[in-house]
Amino acid sequence: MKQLLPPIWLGTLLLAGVAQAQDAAGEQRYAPCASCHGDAAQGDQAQGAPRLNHLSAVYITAQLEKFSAGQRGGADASPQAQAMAAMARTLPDEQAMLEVAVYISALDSPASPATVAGDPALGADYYRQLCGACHAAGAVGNKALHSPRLAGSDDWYLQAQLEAFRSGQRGAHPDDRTGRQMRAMAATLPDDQAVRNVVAYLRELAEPAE
Amino acid sequence: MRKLILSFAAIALLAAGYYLGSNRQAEPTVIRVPAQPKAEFASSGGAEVTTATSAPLRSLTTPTSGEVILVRDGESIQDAVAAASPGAVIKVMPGTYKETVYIDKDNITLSGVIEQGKYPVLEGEGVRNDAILYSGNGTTIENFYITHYKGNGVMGQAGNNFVIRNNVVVDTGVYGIFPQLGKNGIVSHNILSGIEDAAIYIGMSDNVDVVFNQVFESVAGIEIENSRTALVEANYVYNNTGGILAFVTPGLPIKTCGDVIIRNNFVIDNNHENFAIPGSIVANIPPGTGMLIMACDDVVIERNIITGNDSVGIIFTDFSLATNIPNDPESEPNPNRPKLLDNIMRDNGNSPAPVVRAFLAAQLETRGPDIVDTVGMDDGCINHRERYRTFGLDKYTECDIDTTANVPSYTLAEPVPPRGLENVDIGKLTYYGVCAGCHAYGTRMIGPPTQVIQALYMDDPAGIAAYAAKPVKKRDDYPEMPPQGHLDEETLLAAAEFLLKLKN
Repeated sequence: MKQLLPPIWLGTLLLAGVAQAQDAAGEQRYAPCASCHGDAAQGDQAQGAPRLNHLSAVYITAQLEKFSAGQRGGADASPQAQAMAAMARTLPDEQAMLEVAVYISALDSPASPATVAGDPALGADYYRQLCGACHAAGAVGNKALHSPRLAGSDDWYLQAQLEAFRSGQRGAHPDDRTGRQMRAMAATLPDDQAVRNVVAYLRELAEPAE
Repeated sequence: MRKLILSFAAIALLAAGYYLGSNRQAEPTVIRVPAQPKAEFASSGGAEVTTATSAPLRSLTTPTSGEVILVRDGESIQDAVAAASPGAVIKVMPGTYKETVYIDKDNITLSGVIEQGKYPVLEGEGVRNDAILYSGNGTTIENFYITHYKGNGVMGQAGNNFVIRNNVVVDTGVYGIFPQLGKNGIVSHNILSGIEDAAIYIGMSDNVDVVFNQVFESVAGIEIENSRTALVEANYVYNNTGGILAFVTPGLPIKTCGDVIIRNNFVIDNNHENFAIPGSIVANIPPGTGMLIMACDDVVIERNIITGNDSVGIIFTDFSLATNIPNDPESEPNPNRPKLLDNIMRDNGNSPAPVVRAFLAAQLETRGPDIVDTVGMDDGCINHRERYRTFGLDKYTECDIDTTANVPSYTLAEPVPPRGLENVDIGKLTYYGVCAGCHAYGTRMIGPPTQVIQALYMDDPAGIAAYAAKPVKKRDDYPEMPPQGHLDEETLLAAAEFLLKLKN
C-alpha cells in the first residue's frame, strides 16, 4: 500500500499540472476576446459584446463551433455576430475552443444592470408556459436539450437575440438545428412588448449584483 | 291574507330602509311570491337526450356474449384481455395485480370480484404509469382498487359508451378517472383521493354523467374540461384544492365547453393545499375554491350544498386565472350564460388564498364571497340573489327557470356508434385521444406544449415516434413521459405527423 502511494501522488500532481497548463492555455487564448468581452467575460454593452461567464463550457464551445462553421455570424447576421465569427475562426481546433470555454465559464462577475422595461409578471407567465419547457425552471438551461442558461444574461443581449431569431437573422442556417428550434419558439412571441416582458422576467432571475 | 301581504310589505320596507342606509349595498331585497310557474329548462345539448324519455335512467350497459374469463391472484389481467372476444366478461378475483391493462377491443366488461371487503388491487408500485387504458367502445370497468400509479387510474382513449363505476382510486398520480374523447358514458359510485391533478377528469367528451362519487384530498375534485352535455350530480366533494371545475383549456384540439349541469352535490371544505406540479394549469387553483367555472358556457349550478370553502364558494372567470397569454384564437376566453339556481351556501370565504385576497382588497373586502364573477357577465341569471354574498353579479337577472329536473341524465338511451372507423385519420384520432391528455398546443398541461415539440422536431416525425415509444427523462420540472410502446409504429408515426401539422 505504501509502495503504491508515491505513483498515485505523482499522478495527481501530473493531472493538476495538465489542468494548470490548460488553464494557462485558456487564459492565453482568451486574451484577444477580452478586448470586447472584458477581463472577466463580464461583457460590454457599448461594443455589443455580451456577458459570457454565466454560460456552461459546453454551450460556449458549441456556439464557437457554430460561429467558426458559418452557422452563426453569416452574411445576414449583425455586424457584431460577423465580427465574432471572424474571431472564432482564429481558434485552430475544437481543443482550443474547449480551452477558452472552460476558462470563461470559471470567471465570474455581477449581472449587468437592468436596461429593458417590461412586465416581469406577464413575462413569467409566458416563460413558464413555453420557454421553461427547454430552458428549465429558473432559466438555468438544460444540457439534455442543448439549451443555454439565460439567468444572468444581459437583458439587452437577450432582447437583441430574441429579435434576431424573430427576424431570421439568427437561427436560419439549415445546419443550425438548435438555432432553428429557438427561432421557431421566438416566433411564437406575439409582439415586441412580449419580448420585453420575457426579458424583464429573465433579468429578475439573475443573481443579485454584489 | 291581506294582513300577510301587508306584513311582507312592511318587512320589505324595513329591509329597503336598512339597505338604503348602508352605503355598501346597492339594491334592497325584493320579496316576491311567484305568480306562475317558470319556463321549462331547455338545454341546447339536451335535444337528443330528452327525445328518449321512455328508457330507464342511465340504462347504458356493456353488451355481453356469455363468455366469462376468470382471473385469479397471481395471473395476468392483460392475458385475459388478450384471450377475450368482444362481449366477454372478465372477472378478476381479489389479489394484487402489478400491471397495466390495455383494452383495445369492443364491449369488454372488466369486473372485479369483491369478497368480504377484499378488492382486486391494481398496484402501480410508483413505477407504472397507468392502471387501465381502454380504447375499445362499450367498456365497463368496475370494482377495482387502484393505487400507486404515476399517471392515470383509468384512462379512456376515444372509447364511446363507457361505464366506470364502484372503483376506489387512491394516490394514482395525475388523473384518477379520465375518459378522453368519449361520447356517452357514466362515471358513478367511485371513491377517489390523493390525485395531483384532477381526480375525475372528463376531457373533450360529450354526454357524460358523473354521479354519486366521493372525491377528496385531490387538487381538482371533478373537472369537466372542453366537454359538452355533462351532468355532475349527487357527488360528495370535500377537502380538495378546488371542488368542481368546468373549464376550457386553451390549445386542446376540441375548443368548447358547455351545457354542463352541476346539481345536488355536496361541495364542502375544499381547502386542501395545492400540490399540483408547479406550472401546470391546476397549479393556479386557489385553495379554498368550491367551484370554478373558467370559460365554460351554459353552466347551470343548481341546489348544491356549498359550505366551508375558505376562498370562495363559486368563481366564474376567464383564461386570465390560468394564463394571460392569448394563444388560442379559436377558444373563446369568457364564460357565458351561467344559471344559478337555489344553492345552499354558508361559511365560505373565511380565509381566502393570497390571490383571492388581492382581488378582494380591490373591493375593500377581506372575506371571500359566496359567488364571484370576475368577468362581470351580462347574460347570467340567479334566483334568490339576496341570499348570497356576491361580487360582479350586478348584471345578472332573475332566471326564467327554477330547475333542470326535466333533464335527468345527459347519457343517451341508445349506444352511439364508435368514433369514425372509416376515413378516419389514425394520426388525428391518436393525437386527440392519447397525446392531448397531457399536451395542449401553446399551454403547459402535464407535458411540454405541442408548440415546443414542433419547434424541437421540426420535420422529423420519426424522431417523435421513437421518443414516444421509449421516452427518457429530460426535464426536471416535468413528469417523465410514459412510454407509448403499446401503440404500433404506424400509429405513433401518424400521430407525430399530425402533431407537427397542428396550428393551434
